[in-house]
Amino acid sequence: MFGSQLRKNGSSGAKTPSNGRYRNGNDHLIELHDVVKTYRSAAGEFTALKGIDLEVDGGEFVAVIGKSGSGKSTLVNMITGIDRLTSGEILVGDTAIQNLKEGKLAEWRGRNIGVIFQFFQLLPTLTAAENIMLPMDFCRMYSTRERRERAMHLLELVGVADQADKLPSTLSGGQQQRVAIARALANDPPILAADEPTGNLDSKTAESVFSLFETLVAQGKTILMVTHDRDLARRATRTVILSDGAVIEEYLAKTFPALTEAQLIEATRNLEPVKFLPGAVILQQGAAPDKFFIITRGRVEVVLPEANGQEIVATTMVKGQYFGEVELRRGGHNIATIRADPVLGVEVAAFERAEFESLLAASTAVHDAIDRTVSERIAENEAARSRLERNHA
Amino acid sequence: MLSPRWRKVLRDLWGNKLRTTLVVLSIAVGIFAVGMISGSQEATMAALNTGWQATNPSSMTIYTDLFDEELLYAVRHLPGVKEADGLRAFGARFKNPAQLAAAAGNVPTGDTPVNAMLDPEKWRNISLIAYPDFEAIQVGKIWPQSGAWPPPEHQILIERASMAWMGVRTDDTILVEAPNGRQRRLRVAGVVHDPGQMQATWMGQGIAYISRDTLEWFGASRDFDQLHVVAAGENLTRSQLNQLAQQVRSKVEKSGRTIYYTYIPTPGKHPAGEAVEPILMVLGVLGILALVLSGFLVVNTMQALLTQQVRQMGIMKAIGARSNQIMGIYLGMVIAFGVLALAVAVPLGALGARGFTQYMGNLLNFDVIGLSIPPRVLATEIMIGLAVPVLAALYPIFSAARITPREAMSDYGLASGARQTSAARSSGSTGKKPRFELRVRLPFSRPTLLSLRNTFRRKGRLALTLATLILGGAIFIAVFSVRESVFKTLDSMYDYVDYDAIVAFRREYRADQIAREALKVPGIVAAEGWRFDSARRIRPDGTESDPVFMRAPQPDSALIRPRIAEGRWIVPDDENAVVINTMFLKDEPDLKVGSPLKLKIAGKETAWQVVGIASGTPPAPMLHVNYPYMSRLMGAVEQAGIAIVVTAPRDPASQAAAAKALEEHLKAVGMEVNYRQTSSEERTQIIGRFEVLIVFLLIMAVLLAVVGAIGLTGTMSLNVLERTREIGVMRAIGASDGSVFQIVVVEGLLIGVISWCFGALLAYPLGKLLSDAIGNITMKTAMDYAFSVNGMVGWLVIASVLAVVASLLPARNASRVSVRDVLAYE
Ligand SMILES: Nc1ncnc2c1ncn2[C@@H]1O[C@H](COP(=O)(O)OP(=O)(O)O)[C@@H](O)[C@H]1O
Ligand SMILES: [Mg+2]
Repeated sequence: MFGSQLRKNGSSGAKTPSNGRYRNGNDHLIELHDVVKTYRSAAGEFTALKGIDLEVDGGEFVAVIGKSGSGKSTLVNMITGIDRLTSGEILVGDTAIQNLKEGKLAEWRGRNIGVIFQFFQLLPTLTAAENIMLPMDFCRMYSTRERRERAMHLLELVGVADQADKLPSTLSGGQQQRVAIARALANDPPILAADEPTGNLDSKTAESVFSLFETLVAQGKTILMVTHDRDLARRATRTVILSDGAVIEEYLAKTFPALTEAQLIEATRNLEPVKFLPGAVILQQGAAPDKFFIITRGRVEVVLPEANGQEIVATTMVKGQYFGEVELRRGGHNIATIRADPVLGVEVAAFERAEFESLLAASTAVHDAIDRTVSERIAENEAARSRLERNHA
Repeated sequence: MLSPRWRKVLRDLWGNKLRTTLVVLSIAVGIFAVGMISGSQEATMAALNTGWQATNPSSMTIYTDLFDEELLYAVRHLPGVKEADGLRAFGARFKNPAQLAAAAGNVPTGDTPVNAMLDPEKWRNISLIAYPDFEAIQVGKIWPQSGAWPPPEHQILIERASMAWMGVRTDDTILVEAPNGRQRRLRVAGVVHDPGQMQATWMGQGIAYISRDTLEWFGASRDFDQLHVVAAGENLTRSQLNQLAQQVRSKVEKSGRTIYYTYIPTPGKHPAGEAVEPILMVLGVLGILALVLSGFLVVNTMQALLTQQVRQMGIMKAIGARSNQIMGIYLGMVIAFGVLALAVAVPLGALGARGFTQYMGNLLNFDVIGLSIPPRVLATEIMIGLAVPVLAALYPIFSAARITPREAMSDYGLASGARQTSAARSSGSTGKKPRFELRVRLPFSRPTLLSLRNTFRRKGRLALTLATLILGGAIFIAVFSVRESVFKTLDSMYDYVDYDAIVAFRREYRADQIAREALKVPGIVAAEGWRFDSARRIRPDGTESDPVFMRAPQPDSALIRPRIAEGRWIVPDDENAVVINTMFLKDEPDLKVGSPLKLKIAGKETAWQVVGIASGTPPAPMLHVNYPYMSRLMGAVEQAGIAIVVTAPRDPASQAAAAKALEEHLKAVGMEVNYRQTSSEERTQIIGRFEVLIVFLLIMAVLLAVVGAIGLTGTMSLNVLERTREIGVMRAIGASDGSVFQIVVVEGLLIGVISWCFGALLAYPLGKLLSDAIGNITMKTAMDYAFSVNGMVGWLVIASVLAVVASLLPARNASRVSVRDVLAYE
């Protein structure tokens, strides 16, 4: 009965025929499937990305965080096509970028992705305005006359219009980064990719650059931003945590803060992302329990049946919260019906019983934390039930 | 409005003037070298030939008894004869009274350079030439240059290439003595140009022109003794010319005149061709070397330049530039460099070529026509200026344009990985340890160690820079070795001479009388009477060779020390044995030891047998025969025409003094002296002929040194520019201006010294090759090779100085790098 509502996004995701929104069958603006990047150097091979799966929707503001060396830059470079993947597949809009030749890729990038670097990377011999006009020149966008106007407009947008005719070396770091952002916007690309754009700026300037990003997102741009700054990351609509070349499901990390990174990676691998349409039932009260769920996106409603056959929404749970643990820990049948939010639907990470158990076994802290939640939930449930019964009475 | 990418190109060119200048200079110096070398080669050949052809040179010259216009007209009407002219060449001797006065310090000689070596009281040779009609010369034309024309009566016109050697100016009066002893004073009425004549210095005689009336004034006949004939038809073979010569000769003989000699030059070949050939050959070789050299330089510069730009290429790709757009931008830049270099170097090369051609023109007596750049030279220049840079840049640009922006922009793995590219390889080696590791503790300071490591960091660039400098140095040293080899060879040839002076008589005297009288002169310690005759070989095909000196020294003479290459030397009871030398062999290559040899001596055909080949004789065709047989053969037993003497002491001044005293003594006892010459004078005259070649080689050596220096400056500057960041870091950790400066200079010096080592090694075979080639062309024998230690030491000094000077500017720039620049370069 769940089957029809589940769509697995396993490693073979896009290869299964689908009727996605984009030409290559992807539903999301950006989709990464099992992306591996191995660097070969004199010192030997080093795999910086170990099979990344990731989806980003249009309009999202994604912060990529992780320790230094975890593969953040590599990941962003894969998506922008600044570097080549070793295996896997990256779909951006209608384009499967691993299939593009270097020249085509550059042109595609020029039109579709604005790239922003930590060290600004403005061409030293061109003025601010000329740096912005360069991508238009390369991609033959806008008429020659419009280019200058547009450059000025963008400089105004980023607040450095008065620096238009200065060379980069005469600008401050913050001003250079603003020019670089304006340059990234030159061809009006839907996506901006920024690798530690605030890494070289003081916190005040960083803050203003970040606000600029927020404005752009509000205008409909999709932004992928690598950052070290957890406070800034928190303000993004979504965070992707990278660790040792793998993505850690952010809610898994929140749910099990006691897990080590290795365990989180293992857990992330084992979880099964499942999507439910609005209103779909995930757990039916009274049915036999078999999975543990963490909400990764959207909301669920916890529904309790009323005596009169009506249902009542006892509470809602949002991303980062989990359910299904009580039954798995305690045995017995589901104590409540849980269904996807009637408007938003939900995406959850599902764990098989065995995986859930091995997670608990991995750490006594986790074990204890879950058991604490179980008791709390049971207590809550009891309270709710008695409240309900009292109401009926 | 210019699009931003082309604005970037312009700004890169204009904004970094030092780099642009260096790159342009590197390309330009190669263009200049090739333009000058090939330009002078072509211009010299062209001017020489044009000038020579304009004279309407004769296809054959027939030396005969005196003849008049009547015979001339008859010859002119012979079938197969296009044009014919007669002339009289009258060997005489002269003194220059003006010079005499100048030597006494009374009259200034003006700006005419006077050969200071010459004794003003000494008679010198002059050839007086009379044409039938100076205003209508048909064959062997000459042109008035200044003053009177045609030669006025009792006056003389001098060939312009003889003026300096003779030490005369227009309006001077010279004293001329005819073979019959008659002396006349002649005013120099004007100057003429005869493209067929060379520097008087080379020939040891002046060339002058007189009218037939003046001829009579000397008591000589008005008639002619040379018949110059131009054959009708183009591109005649030698045998066709021989046939025609036969017809002309029988015409002359039918008139009852004796033919002495027929000379058929190689058609179209300038008489100075022999002197020019080695120079042109060396020009050609050096032209090719300069081409290779500038090729290296350009490749090196381009790669360094592009390496610096790899990051920017990455940025541009990251913001949407396609590979071919990047290639377009950088090829545009390279072409801009090339065009700038061409604009600078083509005119300069043409000027250089003109200067050099002018120099050759002065020596070889031809006029340089205009300042044109031959199309072939221009094409070569454009090739070096555009094609070589573009080709050199193509691969780095291509690979840099193809690598991913990440590879282009990162400091990681550029030196590594499967997709290794040359741009990448040369651009970064942070990931790789330098192979040159100093594990042992060398007694060097930290900065010196850094210089050492830096030197070996960019191996490709180092190799190219070294190649440029090594080649430049090798050529430099080789050129000096050629020079020393020429001297050594001449020295060893002059080892032949163990006499100090020669006095020639106007007629023959008894050999023992000559010796007896000579020994009476104080300062003369040994004397012999020899025969000097002139002979021509009659070849098996009937043609005759150029006249060749024939020496008949006294048997077992101690005054010469010939070196035998093959066969043997003359022995006292030899009869018709003749020893030829290598210079004669060069003209008559069919001769071997044991060959019969027919010689025409004073109109008489005689039969000889070659018994030996001498390599060590003065560098002119020369035959040696046994005196007793020769004097019998000539019907003048015991008679001799020259006195060969040994003086004591033997320095040039004493030689000259003794020779002068000898001439005076001989005159006093009634013996008629024709001329005298000391062995030092003879030697100076012969070395003079090689001087052109040597001066020329030195010019080339200097030119190549300059190419090398500019190359090194370029490399050092690019190294420094490339390392700005690292230098900034060094400053950040406390390096002083001085130590940064020192690091760069020591690196330059190191490159200079390394290049010197290999250059010196390479110079040995290169010098041998060059001097063998030149020896073969000029003397038909490999020269005695002398490796120039002076050249080697000289180049060490020059290379070190150049290296330091070449590093100064980059070092100064390096010491100005501030920590802030490091950030700017991120
Ligand atoms: N070109 C390269 N060659 C070899 N290893 C590399 C290269 N680039 C990155 N790495 C390695 O890959 C890992 C991820 O690098 P990166 O993506 O730059 O990390 P981050 O941006 O998260 O700090 C690091 O361990 C780094 O050492
Ligand atoms: Mg990074």
